Amino acid sequence: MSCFILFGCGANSNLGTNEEKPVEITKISSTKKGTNQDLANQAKDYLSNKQNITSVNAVNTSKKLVIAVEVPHHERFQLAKTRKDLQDELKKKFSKVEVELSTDQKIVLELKKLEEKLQKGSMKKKDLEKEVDDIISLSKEQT
Amino acid sequence: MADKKKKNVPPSAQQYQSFQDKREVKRPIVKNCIKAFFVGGFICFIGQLISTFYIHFFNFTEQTVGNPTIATLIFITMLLTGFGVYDRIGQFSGAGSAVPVTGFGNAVISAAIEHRTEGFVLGVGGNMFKLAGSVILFGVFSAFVVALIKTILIQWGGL
Repeated sequence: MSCFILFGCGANSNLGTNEEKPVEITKISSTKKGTNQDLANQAKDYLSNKQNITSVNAVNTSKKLVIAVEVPHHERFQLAKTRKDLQDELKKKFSKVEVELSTDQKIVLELKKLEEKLQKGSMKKKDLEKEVDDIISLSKEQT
Repeated sequence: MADKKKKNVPPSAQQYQSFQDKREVKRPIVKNCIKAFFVGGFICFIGQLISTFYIHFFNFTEQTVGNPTIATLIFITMLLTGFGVYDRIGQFSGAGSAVPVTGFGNAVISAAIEHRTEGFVLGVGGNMFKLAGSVILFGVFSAFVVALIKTILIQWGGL
């Protein structure tokens, strides 16, 4: 039993050193007019400078910006507060568009897929809008 | 409390009681706790795997994945109870297999199996929630009390 406790303590004390790990982001360089991802890239830059965020995925249309962030596992206790604070901050920063921030694993996965599609350049404006709307409605789903 | 009870029993019974206390095999509480901890943890680990599966391959978010996960766990428990495996797990790990939702499933399903011979309406239907009924009743009641306390704290306590 004591072994477990010792290992547990050891793991905790290492947490401080991991903070300098780079944040996972992939910027999308979509040159098409309808699927321009400048806003999403700005949001990624802004969030990746923050502490306690391990990865950021974001996609935007002309009216909506949807972002998914991941936090380190031990920070998940304050997940609701972190989400609210970030959402408020980003709403102020990007006041021209509708900002939707999520910490949900499913939204992270969906945004990653969408980013890959955008990176390939095979996306039309209408498809992008539909996909973003679907993701936003998925993130608002309750039990 | 225990001393008060002892005064009322005759001396021969007291003697027997102390004799029995010496001979009785002690319950290995720490060992049982460790068993319950690991088996209960393992059941939750399987639950987590199922949730991750549903999140990755179906349209469920972390918010909504709880329902299909519970349904799947109860379905697995139904099979294990029917084949008599869950009883053995329960004997080995005690609370470790009773506290997760699988324990609730086991309570419903084993009662249904037990009363099968009495017919479907008065047997299975009437007795299915014999044990699980109290879980539902006290679960709902404690949820009500907690909601009441929370409402009072938010409305008057300004939390």
